Amino acid sequence: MNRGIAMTSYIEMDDVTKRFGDVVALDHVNLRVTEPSIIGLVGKNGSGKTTLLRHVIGLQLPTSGTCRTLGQNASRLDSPELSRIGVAHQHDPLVGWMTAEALIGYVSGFYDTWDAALERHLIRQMEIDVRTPVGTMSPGNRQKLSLLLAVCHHPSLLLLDEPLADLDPIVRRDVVAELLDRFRSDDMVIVFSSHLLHDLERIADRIICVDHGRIVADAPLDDLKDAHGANLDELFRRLVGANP
Amino acid sequence: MSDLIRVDVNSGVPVFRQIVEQLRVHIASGRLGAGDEIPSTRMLSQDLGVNPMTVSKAFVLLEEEGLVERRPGLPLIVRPRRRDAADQDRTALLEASLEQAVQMARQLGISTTQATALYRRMLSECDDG
Repeated sequence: MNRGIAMTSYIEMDDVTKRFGDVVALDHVNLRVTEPSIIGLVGKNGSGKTTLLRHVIGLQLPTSGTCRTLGQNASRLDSPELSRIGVAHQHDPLVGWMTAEALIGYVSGFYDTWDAALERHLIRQMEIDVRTPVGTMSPGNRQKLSLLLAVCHHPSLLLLDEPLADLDPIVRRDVVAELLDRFRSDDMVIVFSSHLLHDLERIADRIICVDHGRIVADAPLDDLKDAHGANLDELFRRLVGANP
Repeated sequence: MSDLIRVDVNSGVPVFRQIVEQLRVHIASGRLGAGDEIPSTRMLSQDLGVNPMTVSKAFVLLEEEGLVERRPGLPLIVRPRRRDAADQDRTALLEASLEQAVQMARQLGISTTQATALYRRMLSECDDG
């Protein structure tokens, strides 16, 4: 579904640098995302992946440079933009005392575009027990719930920070298939950070590799494979000289 | 179709190239004949569990090569090939897969006679089996 995006820009980062004291978390980052795609964001722990994603949604502001999201300065995102963004973090601080059902009801109230049929489908497909208080759910189930909360309003921009880390391989496979389904039916950008390169390799069409706060590679996955004759795991080792 | 195409997403060869390669073989071998429908981008990407852009990239290449025909609103179909063109396709595909074997024979110092004898033997074993 194309929701009539007037601008063609999902993310524009111009020369973004972020310092925390002496630590340079993002180092002159330039990034353009202008068309629907699934972007795999890879990098070692502490390389700047999460900081980069936080800048996109304005949770952190650049020390210098500018970041625009869906055409708006990321520090001033408001309802028109936020209603088109979905975010799931590895450890989302969900409201622990609520049942999943209550939390879903609460979150869905914020969105005009909330898709109740999709919600039911995902609850069934990912086997989420909606009567369980969120605080007592396993990390894997919480992660599935975060994903559901991030996609049911049909976002144009979906940011997933290690969304698969707590899931077993079979569930991961199902979740990845669901994400592909979302991508097939909505014109959207999915930015997906993960150490699970095999899963990422299945669905990403573009790879952005971050190392020490710098983007060291930003290219279509197919081009990287053609240029290096290597799979993503091997590419990653070559790019940052380490294991994922 | 999923039995016609198998991809290894974790290979160093881009998935769209794997799809193109396999469809080329199926068309050259006649397993897919003129007028046969190719599954839609959506279906194939679902079957293979890969990004739909990967599949459409493969289809664009096949169309450029003239192997398939795009029809508005309908599935792609295999285009008819002239017999000599189809023969050429087949030999080209075999040639490509023999290249490595030829290099290996030279690297190992295996003579042309030995190598062709081996190839002949393997072919006849395959026919018997």
